[in-house]
Amino acid sequence: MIFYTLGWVDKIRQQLKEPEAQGWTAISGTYETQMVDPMFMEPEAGLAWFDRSAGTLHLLIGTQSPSIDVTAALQIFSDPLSSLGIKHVKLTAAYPGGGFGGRDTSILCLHLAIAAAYSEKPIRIANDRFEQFQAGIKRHASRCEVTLAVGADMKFKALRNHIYLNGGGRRNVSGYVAQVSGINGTGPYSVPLVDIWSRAIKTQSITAGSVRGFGAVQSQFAVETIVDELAVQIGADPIELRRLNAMVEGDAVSTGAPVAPPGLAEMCAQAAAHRLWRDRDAKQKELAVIGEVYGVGFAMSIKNYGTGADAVLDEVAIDANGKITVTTNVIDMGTGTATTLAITTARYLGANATTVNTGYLDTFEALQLEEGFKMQADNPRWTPLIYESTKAASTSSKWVHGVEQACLVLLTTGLLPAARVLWGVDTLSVDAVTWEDGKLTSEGYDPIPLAVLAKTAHDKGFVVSAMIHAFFSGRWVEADYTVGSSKFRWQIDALAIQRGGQTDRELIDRKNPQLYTVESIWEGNGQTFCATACLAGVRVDWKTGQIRLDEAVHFIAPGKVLQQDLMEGQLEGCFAMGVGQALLEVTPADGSGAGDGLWNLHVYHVPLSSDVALGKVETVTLPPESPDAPARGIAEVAMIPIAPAIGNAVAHATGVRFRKLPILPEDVRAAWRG
Amino acid sequence: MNRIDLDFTLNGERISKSDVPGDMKLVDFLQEELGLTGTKFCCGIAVCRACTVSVVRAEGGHQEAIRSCTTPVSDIRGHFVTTVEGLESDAGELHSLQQAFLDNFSFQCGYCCPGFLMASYALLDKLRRQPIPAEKVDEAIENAVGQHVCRCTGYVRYHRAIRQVLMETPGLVT
Repeated sequence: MIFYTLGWVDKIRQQLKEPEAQGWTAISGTYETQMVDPMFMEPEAGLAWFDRSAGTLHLLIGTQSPSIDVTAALQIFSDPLSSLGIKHVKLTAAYPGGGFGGRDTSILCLHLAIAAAYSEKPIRIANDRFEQFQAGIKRHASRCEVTLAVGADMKFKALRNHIYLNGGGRRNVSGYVAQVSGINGTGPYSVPLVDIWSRAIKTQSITAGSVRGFGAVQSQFAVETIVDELAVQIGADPIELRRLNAMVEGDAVSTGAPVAPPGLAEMCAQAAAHRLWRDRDAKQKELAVIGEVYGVGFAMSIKNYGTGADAVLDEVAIDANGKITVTTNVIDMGTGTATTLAITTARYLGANATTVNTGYLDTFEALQLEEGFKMQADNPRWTPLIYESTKAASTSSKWVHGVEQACLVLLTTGLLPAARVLWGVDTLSVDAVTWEDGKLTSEGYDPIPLAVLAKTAHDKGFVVSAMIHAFFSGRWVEADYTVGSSKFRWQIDALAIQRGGQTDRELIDRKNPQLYTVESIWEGNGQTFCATACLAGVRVDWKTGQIRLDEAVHFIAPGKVLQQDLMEGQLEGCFAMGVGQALLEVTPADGSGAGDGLWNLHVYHVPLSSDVALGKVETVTLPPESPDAPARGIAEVAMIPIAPAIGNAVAHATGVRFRKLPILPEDVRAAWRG
Repeated sequence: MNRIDLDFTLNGERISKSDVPGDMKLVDFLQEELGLTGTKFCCGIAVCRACTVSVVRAEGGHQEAIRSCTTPVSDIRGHFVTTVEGLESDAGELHSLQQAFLDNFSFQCGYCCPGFLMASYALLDKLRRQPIPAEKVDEAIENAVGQHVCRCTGYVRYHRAIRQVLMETPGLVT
């Protein structure tokens, strides 16, 4: 990947206009994806009341962005001339029934806050489903104008992907969605010349925002469809063409960062060898004899996980009986976050947490963090970002890191000192101990149960709670922390501890920090990516045009798997949502769509079990590429290849290329009618 | 508004309440009047089935999965209603379906879970009365929960868990 200035972009554009002059074969197309409702099961709801005597506005909302909501609510009453007297906003994050991005910075919070501020009574807003369709955040509809050029050597030479996203009438996170659609705008390919341009457009549509896949669903549907078209045009095997051009680990992504994820070539190899692909033409002919229209398609994708600059707040505490509690600002909206964080403690503390408190904010005021865009190297309270929403498949990589670091603090400053007392030794390092069956062991000493260590730590005044803030911008901020007389270096940027027998927390100033800003991500090229692919077989009813998913293979390269069932569950959910994106879900972006208040599940069809080839979807999880492979966020990226794989299968089945999602029976019938 | 005296059995306990709006939806009655929030409201038009509860219309009758979001309370007078809160045994043990759902990581956000549980609960009762051959089990599951919407999971683990309970519970499969 080579970076060019704007003048060079003009040259790329010129070259793509005259591909023959370069010895290239080029193909162009416009690709469209639809407006989609996240359709989480619980319509948005919340409570609000204003305690005038204390000047505190209380909010209780099922949200995935409590930190941002509380700030937004406070901001609207921040006018010094305001006579309302709202000094504080306190938000309680209720467990939400699904999210998928649709509960990220929703307007519901502001509606509740304003209503409560002017009401003598508590306010309750509970959308019914019609209202949720009408007012809830949607996935951006998109139009991508793409040109792709390939050389005689079957290598991609240049790609143009101009992405337009329908942002609706209120700015939500459209700017970021456009950014992510562009970052992922080359798809999973190494292309030497790239012209990517992405923009969210203000329209009269319903507000679009953060929805699983976050821009990459749109831009990669376009890429994975045009790659298929190009393969057909030049007579290449679509998977082989992909394999030849797939990024390999460490290749540059669209930003120039050498951070391409592993697994793409392996997925191509496995898919090409799979009977579904190998036998696709034979099976197509065989089924044609009995009047069945059959086809197989493939697509693969990458996407960044985490937002690039990520901030986490976690506290891990152990009581005198050895029970572990994790408190965090992250939300579990069906993402398996609570379970994942519960099992995360076992690495350093020898046991799972028994309690995980999600969506907590006030607790972390103890860290006294001060947020600022510019670096304040001498201010130990400064951080570029105090908190963020729950999004971007970041639990596995970001909040797990925070909990692990807090556990490491607890182990080194609480449990190891307790072990030293019990074993009668002066020194004992983390490396000298292991956990076996809930007991701390070290060669030559009797194992000590966690509960005994915890009791000793409490009795002796060792550390029994560690509250941390960690910040990631391509790399984790790290610093030295002195606890008692010992100095440690941890990958956190703020720490408060609590000792046994004490009720107050003790702030520990960081020393010698390696600091980063939110901009450091671009210096360090620190986005983190994950790869996935899908092989899909479909049958198309030649009378009705109805497309049925017949069979599929879903590939993922997650790296380290923290919990197999949770990971597979996210894959399965992504698959179903991808089927909806491909074949079922649409609401017009104009006045005839969900904005008219008449939409519900009788007209908006989300996949049922009969739509998702239940029992006939094989999952292929590539093994970690190395012993220290990261645990990648998979719950967004895994959705992306499903729709283009199905679209490519429909093209193989019908001989018609559909460049617009969803592909509905009437579209097929119309195409066949010519 | 048609106000009624409501008398029915809920999770084994008699519920008597006077002056209840007869057209009040059962899900609202459960949530707002009784504080039983286990039964969930989603689409409100009996499509998604998240609000499913199980009803026996006359003592000894069969369990029937119904949608509480469109069922007026006037319709359940004298009936025997079971909600997710009624599945746990008196000893506090989870129902075999609940345990299987947990063991199989069947749900993610959990909002549709009570609906899947209650439809499966009614299916268990049906098969107790009329066992089916093993090869019909998948079809029976699809008939029982195939119209239930889950947005998180892709259904794989719900069906797997229900199948496991049907196959392991004596007397359901011939």
